[in-house]
Amino acid sequence: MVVALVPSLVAFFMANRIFRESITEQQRQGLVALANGTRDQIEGLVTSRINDANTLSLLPAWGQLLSDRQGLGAADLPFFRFLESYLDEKGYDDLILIDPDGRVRFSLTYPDLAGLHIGDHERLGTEIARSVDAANTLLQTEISNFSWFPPAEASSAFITSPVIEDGVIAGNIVLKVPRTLLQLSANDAFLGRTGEILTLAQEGGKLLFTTPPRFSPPVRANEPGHQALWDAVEQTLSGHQASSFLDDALGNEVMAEGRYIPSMNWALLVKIDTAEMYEPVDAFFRASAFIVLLALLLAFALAWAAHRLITRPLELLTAQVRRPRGAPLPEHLEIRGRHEVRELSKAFSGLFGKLRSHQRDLERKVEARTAELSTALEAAEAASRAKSEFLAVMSHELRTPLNGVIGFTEILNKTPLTPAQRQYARNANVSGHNLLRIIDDILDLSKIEAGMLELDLERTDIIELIQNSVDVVKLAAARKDLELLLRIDPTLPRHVVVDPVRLTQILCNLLGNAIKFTEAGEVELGVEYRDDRVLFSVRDTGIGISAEQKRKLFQAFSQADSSTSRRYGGTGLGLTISQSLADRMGSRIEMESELGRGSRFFFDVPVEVVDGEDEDGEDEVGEGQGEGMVKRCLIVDDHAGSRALLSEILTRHGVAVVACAGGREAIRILESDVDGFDALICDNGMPALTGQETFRIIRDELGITAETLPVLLLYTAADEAAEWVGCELSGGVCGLDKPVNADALLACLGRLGTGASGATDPGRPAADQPDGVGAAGAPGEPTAAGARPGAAADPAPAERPTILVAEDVPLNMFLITSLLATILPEATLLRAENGEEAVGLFRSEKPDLVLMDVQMPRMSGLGATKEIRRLEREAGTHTPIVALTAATLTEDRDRCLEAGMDQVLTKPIDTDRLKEALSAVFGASVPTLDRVGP
Amino acid sequence: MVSNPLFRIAVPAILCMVWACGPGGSAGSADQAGSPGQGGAPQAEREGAIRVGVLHSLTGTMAISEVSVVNATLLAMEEINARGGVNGRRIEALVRDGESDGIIFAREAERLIAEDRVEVVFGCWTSDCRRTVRPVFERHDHLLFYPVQYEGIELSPNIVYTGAAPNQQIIPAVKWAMDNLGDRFYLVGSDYVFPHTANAIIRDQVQSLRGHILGEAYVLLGSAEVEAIADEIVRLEPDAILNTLNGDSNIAFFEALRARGITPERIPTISFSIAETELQLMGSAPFGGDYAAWNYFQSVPGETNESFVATYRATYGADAVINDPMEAAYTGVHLWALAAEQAGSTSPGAIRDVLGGLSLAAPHGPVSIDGRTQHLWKTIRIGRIRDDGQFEIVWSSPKPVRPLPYPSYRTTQAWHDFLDGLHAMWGGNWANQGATPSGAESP
Repeated sequence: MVVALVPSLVAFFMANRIFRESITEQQRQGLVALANGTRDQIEGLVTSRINDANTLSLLPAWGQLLSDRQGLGAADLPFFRFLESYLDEKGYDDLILIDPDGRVRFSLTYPDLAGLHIGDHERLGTEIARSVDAANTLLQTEISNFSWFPPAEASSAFITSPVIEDGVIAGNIVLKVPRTLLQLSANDAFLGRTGEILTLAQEGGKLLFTTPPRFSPPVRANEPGHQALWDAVEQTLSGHQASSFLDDALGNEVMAEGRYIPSMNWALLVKIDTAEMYEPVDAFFRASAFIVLLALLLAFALAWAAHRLITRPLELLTAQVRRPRGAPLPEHLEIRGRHEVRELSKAFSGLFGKLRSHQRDLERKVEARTAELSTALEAAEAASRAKSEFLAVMSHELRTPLNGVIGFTEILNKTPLTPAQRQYARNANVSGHNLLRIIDDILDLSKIEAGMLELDLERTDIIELIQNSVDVVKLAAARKDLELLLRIDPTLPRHVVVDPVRLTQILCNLLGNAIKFTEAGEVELGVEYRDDRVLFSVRDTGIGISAEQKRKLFQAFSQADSSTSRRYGGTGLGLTISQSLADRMGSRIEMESELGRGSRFFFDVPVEVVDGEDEDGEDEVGEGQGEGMVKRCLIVDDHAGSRALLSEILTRHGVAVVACAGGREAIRILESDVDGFDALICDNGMPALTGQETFRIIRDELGITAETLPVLLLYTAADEAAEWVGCELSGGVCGLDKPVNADALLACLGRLGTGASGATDPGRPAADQPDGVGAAGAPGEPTAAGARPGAAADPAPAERPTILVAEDVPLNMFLITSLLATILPEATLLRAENGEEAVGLFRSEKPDLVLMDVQMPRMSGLGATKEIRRLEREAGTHTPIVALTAATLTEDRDRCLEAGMDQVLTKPIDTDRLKEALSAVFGASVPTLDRVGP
Repeated sequence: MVSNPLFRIAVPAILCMVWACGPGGSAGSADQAGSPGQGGAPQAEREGAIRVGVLHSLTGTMAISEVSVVNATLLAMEEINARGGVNGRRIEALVRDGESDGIIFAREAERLIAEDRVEVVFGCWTSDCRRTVRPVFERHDHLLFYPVQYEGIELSPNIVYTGAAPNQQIIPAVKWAMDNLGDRFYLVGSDYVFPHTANAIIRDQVQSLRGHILGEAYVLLGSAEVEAIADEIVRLEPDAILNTLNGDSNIAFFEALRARGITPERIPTISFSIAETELQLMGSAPFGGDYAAWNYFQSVPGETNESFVATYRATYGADAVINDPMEAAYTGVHLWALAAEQAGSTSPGAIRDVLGGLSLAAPHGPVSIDGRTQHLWKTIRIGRIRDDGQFEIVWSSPKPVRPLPYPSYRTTQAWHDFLDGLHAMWGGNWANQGATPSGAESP
């Protein structure tokens, strides 16, 4: 509104001002013209009167009239007639002749004046004398002011001219000028209603109107209302000419134009009332004010209407539409307004309706879906719970009978049987183990999927771990006649922190797969150490995996090809489990493969290196290397990869190497250079000439003695060479099974190098070969003595140890006691069917070892263990307690250890592990059992 | 969305106002077309300053008189510029030196008009110069404001005479002398056109009043050979001496008079060319008690003159004195400016059209231009020289006197014949260039 109002008002006032100014200027110019015109009119009148007097004064008659002292004669009458008619014509009302002495010679109108002296003011007034004096002083015609002239009883002025005769002033003629003669013929029409022309003269300190004013009263000095006018007249009389606004004698504001009239010494004022002057401006102002006001009112009305019809409804609409978050939509919109707004409102109403119904639909759907989902979720949760419970139950329920199957088939195998029966029993045992492995896999997978798998990190001898893993599969490799190569980075630290069980599991799986899918060639396990990570890679020369198969490779229950499943067997869970384990270790198994050429699986595990105290065995190896290391070595191996690996290991340790691919070739080399070698490393399983045959030829045909050339025979788990080596120790040969571990190889060579005489005892450290072939055969084999580092230091317990077995299931009890009887026939076995019984027997019999089932009636194994430990604290003793449990989860294990148990064995009880546990307690007195192959 | 309700109401309102302001708009356009009061100033700015010429002797024998006239002329121009100029334009003065030589005056006048394109020229002192430059102004139909009292007998549409005509100085003074001092006169003057003409008028007037001229003598301009004249005055014992000597001759003359024991008490002198400036330059001592006739004395009472004197002294020094020609020059500039304002133009023709009747309050009193003669109505005064070099005013005319350049008791032709005689006598000059002063027996 302000935006609209200000410019219009400014324009209005400006227009008014401009109009007013132009009116002022126009009126001023009018006044100027009138003032100048009036001035010129007066001046013109005066000049013409003066010229009249000049002309008259030049008449020759004056001289005679003045010189004639006799008075007027009859001869002068025509002249006087002329003068009278002249005066009539010109409007003068008298002519007076004055002689040089200042006396009136005659007066045409007032003959009585003759003889009077001009100084007689009483009779003649003042102005005749003044004008005569002025005329004679200036020698020119002069006009007097108007003043009272007694003879005429009126105000008159006089025009006086000197009469000069022969260069001498002979007298003066005086023309009497009546007021009317200078009457202004002002144009009253031009002056309008209030215009006025004033002529004023200053006379004796007073301002007198010299012509009758139209309205004005006499101007008086010291009259406050007249002061402005008085001042203006004074200014004008001083010569000043200007326009001014002032209050006149009537009290009206006027615009006045002043002019000085020198000939009469008058002030001329032309004035007009400003009220009249600005009449058109005021009319215009009123009219335009009316228009502006009207326009404003109209504008307000239209604005209000617009506001009412458009803006306000829109506002209401906006207010209704714009609701706070969460507020419900209005039922309907009721907006009054123009039809457009109503339409908009309707449209919004419709929209709201649709929105509401849509919202309701959505809500219904969401509720339905939510209900469905919660049902499904409950079902899923229930299923999951059921699955877990099922798995736990299955784990327990499957293992328990399997335990019996495996255990009894093993025991059965120890009994005297016919070859056929033995074979059956063995088959049953193997089937049980296979079944157990499958169950374990499934359980592992379910544990992993349930997120219950936890790593059990501990300080581990990594070399041993690798060796153990290889040992698990080397028999299988040997059976398929595959070269199993082991390439270990020499910088690999020995002791690192890993989960040994799970890492072994991964390696065994990868190696097992490699062997399983390789028909010929080699399988190599490479171990490298780089930046605190150990990189394991398993390479084979098997069937390979296509890129398409690769994608499904790590999925559960899928092998690369369903056909392979039929061909190679297996659940297909192994890789999935391995990948999950690797994932838990912070790694990832990756693979590269070429169909038909082989595959390579690899993963790297971050490890924490611990500087553990050096193992004794390792020191031995180091000594061996330092003292009598062989300098030159001949390697005979038909397998190129194996040959290269051996050469590499030896070369790295400063041994000069000559390698050849077969026995014949080796013999030729030895024939030509019999003293060139300190040792011969020979693979046994060579096609043309076996290692044993080569050995025979060297010893027998070439006659090279054991002292000259000791022989290290490499054999695989499958051949019978190990036993043969045992028999031929005196012949200067020792054996090492493949794959060859660098440390073991060097240790062996070291022993060979220290002298052929020492070759009679090639006993290797058990750490290098825990399941050494040399130990195969009879239990209690002396060569195995000292193979258990932990057990070696233990003092042997009582000759007849007492073992307490607490187990509530009779079948399990029977199996365990049977195994114990097999392993430690001399041991006294105590049987308890629950925890309470176990505690009671412990108290009375003081057993050397307790095998405690965890889940038992009346008192659980954990409770019994706690009770036993409590009793022991009183006695200050410590009896080993080994838990027997079907539960395989880490937390179960931890609970057992917390309760005070020393070791946990998982059912089904593996003979080997039971044996280990026993040997840990009873040391060397525990014999080793023949291991049941997979 | 817009949230200000005022704005929402204003938008339609503005639309309505645009319609409603239609008639008002036309009033606004009148602002551009009309506005006479405001249009002038910017236009004048575009045209630049008004160039006017000031032409006086800055060197030579007349410089002592004319330099102060230049000062008064420039003072008036400064006053006009200070109040905003003429029609909104500043006055720019081009001051030229006439070198006290009529020929040079004419040449410079020609240059000012033709080359410098001035709108008006203020200048000249001597009648010789004025008469020499007059044809130049008439040929160009230009305008000269001439500030010095002179002998009259001249009318030019191209000259405005702001000094006194003879009837505004000489004639009233002679009458006053005859009324107050006696009727036996001795006339002395410099030997050029003004004193000769003045004395002719005086002779006529004295004769008309039955008085007596005892003697009449001339001194060459700048000459000090006055001893013989003084001796003659001593011998003749006139009632009064009417002196039209100009310049340094006055010192010699008055000293010669005093040396012979002629004091104002014994034989008073009425001078027509001695004013405050001359008294200051020559020292007032020899002149004290004698009389001079002028329109203006520095001692004229009244607000207008007091302010004029104060302004002049503020500009040119507290001891500066002002004389009649200076006042006339100052008044002339103001009259020209007033005419230019009234005419709305500064062209000589336009100004001449509005000169008649133009009046103002000059320092000496009201002046008004007589349109017919382009002379001023002026008040006449007679003053007695005081010892301080100022004048005591002993008589003044009761009202301004009409200018009559041709004294009315001779015909115009008679006056022209008289001047032509002088001109011929001096060999085509307006001053006696010879070595012997003219005799009393002039035409």
